[in-house]
Amino acid sequence: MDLLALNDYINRAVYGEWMMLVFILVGLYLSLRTGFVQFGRLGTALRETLGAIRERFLSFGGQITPFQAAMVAVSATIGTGHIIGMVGAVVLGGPGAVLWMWIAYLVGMATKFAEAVLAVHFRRQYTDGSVLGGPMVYIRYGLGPRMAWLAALFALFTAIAAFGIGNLSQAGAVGAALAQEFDVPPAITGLLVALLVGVLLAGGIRSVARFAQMVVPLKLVLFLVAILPLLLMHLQNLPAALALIVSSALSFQAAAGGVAGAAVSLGLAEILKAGVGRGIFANEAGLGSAAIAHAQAQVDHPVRQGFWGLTEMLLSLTVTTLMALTFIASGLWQSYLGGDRVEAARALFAEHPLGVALLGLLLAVFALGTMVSWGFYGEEGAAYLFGEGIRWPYRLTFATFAFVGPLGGLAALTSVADTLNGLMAIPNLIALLALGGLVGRLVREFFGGMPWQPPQEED
Amino acid sequence: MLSGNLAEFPLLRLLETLMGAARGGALLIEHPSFAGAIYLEGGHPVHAQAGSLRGLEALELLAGLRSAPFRFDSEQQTQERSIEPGLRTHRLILHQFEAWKEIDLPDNWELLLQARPAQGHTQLSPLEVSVLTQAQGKSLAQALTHGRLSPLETAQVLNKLLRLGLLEARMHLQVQPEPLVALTLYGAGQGVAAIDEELFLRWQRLLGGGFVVRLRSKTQETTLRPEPRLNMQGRVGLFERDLRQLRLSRGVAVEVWPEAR
Repeated sequence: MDLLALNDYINRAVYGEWMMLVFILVGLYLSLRTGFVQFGRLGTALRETLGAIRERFLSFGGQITPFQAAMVAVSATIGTGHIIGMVGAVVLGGPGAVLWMWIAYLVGMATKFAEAVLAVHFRRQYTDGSVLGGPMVYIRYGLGPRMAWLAALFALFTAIAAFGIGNLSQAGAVGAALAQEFDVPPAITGLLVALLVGVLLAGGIRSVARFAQMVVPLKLVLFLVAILPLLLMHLQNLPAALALIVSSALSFQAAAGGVAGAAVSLGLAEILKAGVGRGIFANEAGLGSAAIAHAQAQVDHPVRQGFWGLTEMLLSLTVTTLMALTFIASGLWQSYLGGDRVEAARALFAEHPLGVALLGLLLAVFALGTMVSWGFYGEEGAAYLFGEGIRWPYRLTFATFAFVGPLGGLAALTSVADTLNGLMAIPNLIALLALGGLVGRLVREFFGGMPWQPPQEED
Repeated sequence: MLSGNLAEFPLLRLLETLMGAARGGALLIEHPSFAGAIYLEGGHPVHAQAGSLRGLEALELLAGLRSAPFRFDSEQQTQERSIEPGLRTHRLILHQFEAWKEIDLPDNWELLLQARPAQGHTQLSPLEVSVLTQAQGKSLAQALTHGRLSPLETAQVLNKLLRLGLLEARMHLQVQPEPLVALTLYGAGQGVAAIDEELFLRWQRLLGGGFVVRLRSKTQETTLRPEPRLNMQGRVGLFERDLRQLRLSRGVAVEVWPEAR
């Protein structure tokens, strides 16, 4: 078996059904340990985050505010997968996939909450005010020195995966969108993207956070401008779309559908895989990536940052749901069942009053935001492994790959990075399972009015 | 017009001079904590006031002053009569001055009185305990003028408490209120203001011991028990019940400052 074949094998495993089951089980376990915080404390979470939005620039003394940390995470999470990936899930699994996606989201909320809580609880703070945190840190200090190898493995996966999901894929998407809709040569796109990413990463977390707090609202506004007119155009089909999501969740049969117009039959396994896969991988809950951003927030109690994790998931859920509902209500999904997801998305946006170019712009902005946040994640992973000296070489390499991305090629590297992205979940889920009790204790202490006691730093 | 400071012209000598010369007018004493005045007619004190005190009680308080600017205004008269002129009053005044000689209170009556933990076994009468409780957190002048006992009796008890080390007189510090933003604390707690541990330590050092915090919002002011917490820079954590009672919510700006307990 050659290396690429091995990579394909591992890739299928880490994004396969069994791994999805593990994600769901860990999410359910964390829901139990936290007393189903995503339901029972949702009101508090919204009051603490969106309700306190006027405090977005008010820090607790750290480098960035809790809001900014959450925006870095949201900026990474809400990417092209929320548009093309969501259309892809319906194309693959039919409308019923959306119901399973919702369920996966609801379970994943507890996972994202736990990640943010642990990231703040175990992060390392240095005398210059900088912070290092994320799954590699909570694995190392939460599970002890004997599991340092697992922490290093996570950091390694993150540092390399960032070049795939966070760089080549995104830069490629920006390049393709701008070339297709606006005839921008890929080399020019690559140069501009590399410059932007390089300058932002050079400014450290403050600069990444400032960018994220601007780009996330821009993403959301652009998305609403893009989706609402389409949704309004098909508003009369919305009740039927919702009914279809529920009725076709277990099995689906279409007498004539798909690109070839042939009969289509989807079993529960296919529907589940498409829906749950989207509900897990679109929001990154369980991968541990967002925890790297949440660790940067200075707050009086880790649980307070955990609420931002819940809100992050709700924002992601809103975007994917609006996208799915619009696509199903448009009826286009029937023609593209089993077909090409990009073509399906283009067909949907062709109906938009501003034209399909809006899809290109949307994808470009979504991808750019994701790139910058992932550049930071990868850098943090590399810094954990090799120390502070690696930051500049990493930034320069990341910017170089951002230039190459729109030009195409490097498919093998992208594929390996994609596998490593999936592999990030394994050390993270192990740590979440092991530290679930601690998360539950922190939640109880927070709601009991007790102050946070950070763990003693051993070095 | 005769003027000077009681540190140079003690009040007893001043009164004896004015009484001996059978002068009429007002001896005005400008203490930082209160305004005092002794009105004389034909060399006899007829009225005295010191802050909210009147008559012999006011005279009793003024007799204890060792330093304060004064001036005698022979033109100023009053219709008020709070002191019976006569020999008995003269003897009483002399007795007051004699009694004050036995008392060794600090000259600065603006010092703040703070209770200290007892060293070893100390027996106090209920009256002394009552004075100790009432004086806690007040300035010396406030304790003398607002006690249940007469100023002289209060001074005698305070003198004992200071000597036993159960009270200490400290400089009163004017601490600038800190503008903080309210943050919700969850749970059944009440009456607590969670402040950043660095701010807590700074205020503790400044006041030299236990303190409470005063919190002022747009509509209300209240006293709360401070609790140090990590990462609370710029914030004051308040329990939900307190937030409701104070008609506050998360994100509202308030002013917080410490006060000696």
